Amino acid sequence: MQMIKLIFFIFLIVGNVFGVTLDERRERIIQIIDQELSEVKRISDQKRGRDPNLLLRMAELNLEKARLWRDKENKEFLNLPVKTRTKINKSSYFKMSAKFFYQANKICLDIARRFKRYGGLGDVYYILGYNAKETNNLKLASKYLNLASRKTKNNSTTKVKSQISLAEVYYNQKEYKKAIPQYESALRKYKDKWYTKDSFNLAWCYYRVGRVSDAIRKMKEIHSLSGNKKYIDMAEDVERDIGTFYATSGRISEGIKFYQKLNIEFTDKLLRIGVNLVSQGKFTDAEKVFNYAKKYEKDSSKKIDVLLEQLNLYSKYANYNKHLSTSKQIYDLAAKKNITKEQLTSFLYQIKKMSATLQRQVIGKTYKRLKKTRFAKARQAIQYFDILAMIHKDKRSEYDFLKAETAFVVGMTTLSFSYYKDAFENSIKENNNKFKVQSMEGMLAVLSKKSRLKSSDNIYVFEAYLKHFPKDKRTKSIYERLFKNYLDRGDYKNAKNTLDRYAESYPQDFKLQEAMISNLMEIDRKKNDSAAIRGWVKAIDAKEYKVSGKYYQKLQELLTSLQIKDVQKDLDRGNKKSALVGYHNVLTDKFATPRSKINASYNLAALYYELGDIQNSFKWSNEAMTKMDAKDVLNFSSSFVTIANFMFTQFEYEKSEALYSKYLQKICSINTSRKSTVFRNLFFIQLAKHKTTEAEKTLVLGQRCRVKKKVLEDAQYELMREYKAQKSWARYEKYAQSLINSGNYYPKVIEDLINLEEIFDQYNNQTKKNYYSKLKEKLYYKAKKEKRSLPISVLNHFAAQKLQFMKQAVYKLDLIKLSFPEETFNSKLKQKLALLEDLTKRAQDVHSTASGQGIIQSYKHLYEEHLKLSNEINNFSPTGKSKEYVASFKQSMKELASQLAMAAKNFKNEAVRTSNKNKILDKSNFIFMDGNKTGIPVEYSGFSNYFLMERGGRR
Amino acid sequence: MMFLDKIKIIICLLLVSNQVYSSWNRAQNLYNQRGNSMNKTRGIILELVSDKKYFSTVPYLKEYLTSTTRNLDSAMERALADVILEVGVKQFEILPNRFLKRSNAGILSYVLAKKYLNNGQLDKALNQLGKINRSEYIYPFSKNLEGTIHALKGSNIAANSAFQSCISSSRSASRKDLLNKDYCRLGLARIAFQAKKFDDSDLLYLDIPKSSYVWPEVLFEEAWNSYYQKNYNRSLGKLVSYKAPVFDYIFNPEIEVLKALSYLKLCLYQDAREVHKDFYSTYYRDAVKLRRFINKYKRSHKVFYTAMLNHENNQSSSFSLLDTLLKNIEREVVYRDLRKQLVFAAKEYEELMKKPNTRFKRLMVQNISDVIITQKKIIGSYIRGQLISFYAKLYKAFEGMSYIKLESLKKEKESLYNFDPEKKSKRGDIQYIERNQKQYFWDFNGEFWADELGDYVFALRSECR
Repeated sequence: MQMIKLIFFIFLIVGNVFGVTLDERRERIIQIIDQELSEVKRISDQKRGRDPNLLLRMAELNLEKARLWRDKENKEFLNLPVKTRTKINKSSYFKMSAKFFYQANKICLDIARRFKRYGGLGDVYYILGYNAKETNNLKLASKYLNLASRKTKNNSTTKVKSQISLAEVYYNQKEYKKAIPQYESALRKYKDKWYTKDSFNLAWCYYRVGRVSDAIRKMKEIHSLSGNKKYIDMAEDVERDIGTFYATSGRISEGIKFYQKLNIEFTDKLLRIGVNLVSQGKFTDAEKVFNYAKKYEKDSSKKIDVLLEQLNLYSKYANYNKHLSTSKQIYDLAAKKNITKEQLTSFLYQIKKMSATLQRQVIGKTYKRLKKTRFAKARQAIQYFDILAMIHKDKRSEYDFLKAETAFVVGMTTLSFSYYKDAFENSIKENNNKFKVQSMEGMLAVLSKKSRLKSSDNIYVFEAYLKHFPKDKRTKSIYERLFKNYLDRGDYKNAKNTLDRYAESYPQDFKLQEAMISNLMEIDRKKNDSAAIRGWVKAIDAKEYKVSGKYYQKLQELLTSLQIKDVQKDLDRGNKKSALVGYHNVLTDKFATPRSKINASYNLAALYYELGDIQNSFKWSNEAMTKMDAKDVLNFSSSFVTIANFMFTQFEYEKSEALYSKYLQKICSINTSRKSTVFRNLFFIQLAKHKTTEAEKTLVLGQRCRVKKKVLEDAQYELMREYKAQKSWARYEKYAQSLINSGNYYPKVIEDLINLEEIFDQYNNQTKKNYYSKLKEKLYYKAKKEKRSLPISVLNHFAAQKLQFMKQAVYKLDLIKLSFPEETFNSKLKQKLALLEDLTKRAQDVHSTASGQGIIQSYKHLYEEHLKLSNEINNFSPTGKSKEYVASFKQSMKELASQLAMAAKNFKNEAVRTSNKNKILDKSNFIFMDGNKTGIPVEYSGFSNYFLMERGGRR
Repeated sequence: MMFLDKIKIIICLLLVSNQVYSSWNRAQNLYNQRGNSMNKTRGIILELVSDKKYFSTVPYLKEYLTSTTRNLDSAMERALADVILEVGVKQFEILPNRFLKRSNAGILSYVLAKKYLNNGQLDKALNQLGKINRSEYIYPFSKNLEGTIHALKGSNIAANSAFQSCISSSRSASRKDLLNKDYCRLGLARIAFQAKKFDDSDLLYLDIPKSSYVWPEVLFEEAWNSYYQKNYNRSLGKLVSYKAPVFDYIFNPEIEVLKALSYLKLCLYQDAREVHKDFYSTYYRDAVKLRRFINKYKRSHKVFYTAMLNHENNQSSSFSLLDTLLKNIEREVVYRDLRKQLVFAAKEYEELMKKPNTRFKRLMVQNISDVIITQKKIIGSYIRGQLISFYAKLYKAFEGMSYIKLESLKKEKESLYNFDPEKKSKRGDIQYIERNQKQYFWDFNGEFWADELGDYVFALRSECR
């Protein structure tokens, strides 16, 4: 160790004594350049800047200095830590070199501007081009280098350098076609030590444009020249890259020969070439190369390397199909134990990566609508998991699970189920609880979907669940589902077994037990196996199973229903007697449930009805309705109503009434149209029997039961009329009051208000009289306004009122007697005529009531008064006046009288017409009817063989 | 001295005094004659030249040349040649070519050829030089010029021939002739250098003796030659000679540039940069001052003349570089000639002043004053020109240094990019010294011996990879 240190120390000293470090040399060169610059500047200043050669030299020196500074700055920059490098301002690190580049540029531009005919412009443009290239301004570099090339003599160094630089610019811009002639031209003229390096670029240019043969030829030339110290040694680069040329052009055998001469294995090269091509993004070429490598490689371990790189390639450009097939190839080789640990690691990485990628794609939204693609990817992912499972046999459950998940997502439920199952079973073997749970969840999820799984699969899952997760919170539902599945399969034994297990596990949970029992019982029921059903009941009684009370009840009912069913059969066969007996037996059977008893009661009622047995049909109907709840009553409404109607038709009004009443009471809270019908029937039965109290109760019931309003109003109206008939004025008034706000009845009730008015008038109750007077008026005018039809009596009543006014006018008319003097006559005549006019107006009022009677009466008055006056005028003869006066007076009055007579006639005709048209029957009709042509109106005549009946049908 | 000898002397003196008296007076008389004919002017010129009053004659000659429509006769040709020889060509260079063409004198053809050369009209210059006779005094100088022109044209063979002719025709032992001969030898070396025959040129450079006035220049060219021979150590050695005190007057910024280049070639970048640094630190500020100085006084010759005058009177300039440059100019042949001409003009002026005060005399005094003034202007202009030239060299040297520095930096940078480890090794070794057959090896012990100057060689190992 000491010796080594000593030797090292000596070496260090010797090295320093005899050597100059790179930095020192650079510094010294820079110092020399500074001196040169100073000298050139001095000379140039002496010549007042008129010598372009000196300016050019200054530019060249600045450029040289810039390059040296750039080297230094690059070195310093690269020595910085990466993090620091990314954060700092790069331009600040290169400012010195930038300054000198700028200076060189500035001088060159000055030369180009001022000395347009300067013979060294080529060098000037070269410097500008070079600087532009350094600053990555390739477009400008290209421009200047082109100028440099044009402005220099053909064989000058500057021209060659310009061409090379220009070629490099084109090369960097990937304009290989443009680079080739530049390189060719320059290299033809000049063969300095950079020849090999430049030729290397040229070879690549050939390759890029497809001239592979030229590229290979050039590479070979470079390789042979690299042995000469005169040129830069590019042998290594050639050996590295020529392989790519051979490989991508398919000239493998040539490549092999080439490398054999160098004692290099080409297949190894091919692999590296392929890797390089991949890194460059040339995937097609890389694939080709890998295929070649695979073809020619004999060593299986190396072959795996190639395949792994292919995997990497396919992974990069996402060719899943090829990736998978390659993976399988690798697996085949790996299975033969030809794979190293590192290779296996890489392989596993690829598989896992690809499977995860595919799985993500399957799960994601991208391919949601592309079902085919999604399926394909799922299948691929599954295959990857298969491979992983085969490799990691101790993790089979995990991969089976992943396969299942993948299949599940795309809806391959059957397949996913089988994978879940595998995963589950394997997880049990591996004692892997995690996947056991997850795979079970998976299986349950599959089952929850509408899949084509068999029930045996379901059963398997549930049984397995119950076996492995007996205390899980979903166990209950699993029991249920398992039970159902057994049931569906008809495997009642196992279904019962499930029930037993459930009862054992959850003794207090009666609901499910009930459900299960009922399902099983249903089967027994279908079989009509009462004994089995009894067995259930017995078992329940023995606390083997727990059910709710209600259910127990139902069980009972079931039993009973069985019984009833038997009876029903008899009935269906027409054996009514047996049916009757059977129903009675049900009623007496202690096990018979209330339900069945109700059922039996009802059926008995129906039977007896059919048999025409009023008594029993009533009894059992009543019985049945009493026991039934509203719903049941409603359900059997038609039967009960029919029976009640039957009672009615058989004049068993009491029974009918009782049934209706019971029915109504039962269905009171139910919204049904039958309610109104039954109410009406009941009410009118009661009313017909003058059972007003019951009728009122029924009415109240009806209101409570929310019978239709119209029906209730009808009932009220009828009740009101009944009270009127009974002269129970208080009750009458009450119901009249209840109807005044009825939209349907208020017009009708006006008549009753008129009655009440009269009644209270009779009882001298002015208050009430006035009240009703006003009320009737109010309602009358309301009805008029609403154009409601009013009873004739109402119309007549109001017409009569208005007729009174007419009568007043008539009275007044009659009071006025015509007399002379003339003025008096005229005055009275005027009064009379005015009164006639007034009468006519009042007649219009009467007409407006639309009362036929009123109209006729009004016409009567009009007719009579007009006629009277006409006659009076005709018959009037002024006293104490001359004949001539009287004659002329009469003559003059004749016209008036005849007009009045005419008017009277018109009124008469109008009265007749109106009467005929509207079929008005009024006692005053006779005035206008000259039926017997006697001229003497006959008021009425009657017939002898009619009699009046009351509503009840009694006389 | 023997009596006869004395008599001979006395007779000669009499003759001379008669001749002198005769020429001046004749000239005066001619001047006093009425009229302004060309003949009169001609006569005056000839008499004044005969009296050796060369500077006084210059205005008359210029007037004659510009006025006459005919070519000069032989007497005038001779007179003109004599005047130019004494006065120098610059007084006449300012004349338009058409006037200079009036004379067939070789000297004027030479002047004309120089003017054509300065204007870049090389063929015309050659044409003029072709008219100069071998017998003429100016002939070797013309051959020198001819060789230079041929070399500029790239006709190395013709240039070579001209320079050889120059060397062979230079028989006189006068300083000027010797100088010209050395320049012709230098020319031969330069041709070889131009033809990139560096080994030949290396040997040809060695043919120029160290005693030659041009040798300091040769040293620099030899250094360049060694540089191109990739013998950078020798190049550096040549250049280091300039550090010798004897050469402290020499100002050539290219020396430093070449030094830096040599280091660069040896990949001794640090040394190259040191040279650069030293160069800048030494010259940069003064260069700015120099520029300001030139710009400020660029229209004035007098300032530059005065500056030189002050320098000659040992007065320091406002900045050291100027002193160095003036010192350099002071040692130049051209400047010395100009200077000498001015002195002669001044002497002639003094002689004239001694003459009786006649109208003629006053005119001559005026003439010579003009000539003196012109000469001073020429001197001032020359100095200014040289200073501008030096500044341009400096400017170019700064640029060169900068590029060298850049190059050295670039090389150093490349070595760092290439991960070359620094090598520590011994700086120098004699094994790196290369010699030809004319060179021997001696160690340097820190002293610049005259005979060793230019023969130094560095022994640096190249550090290039």
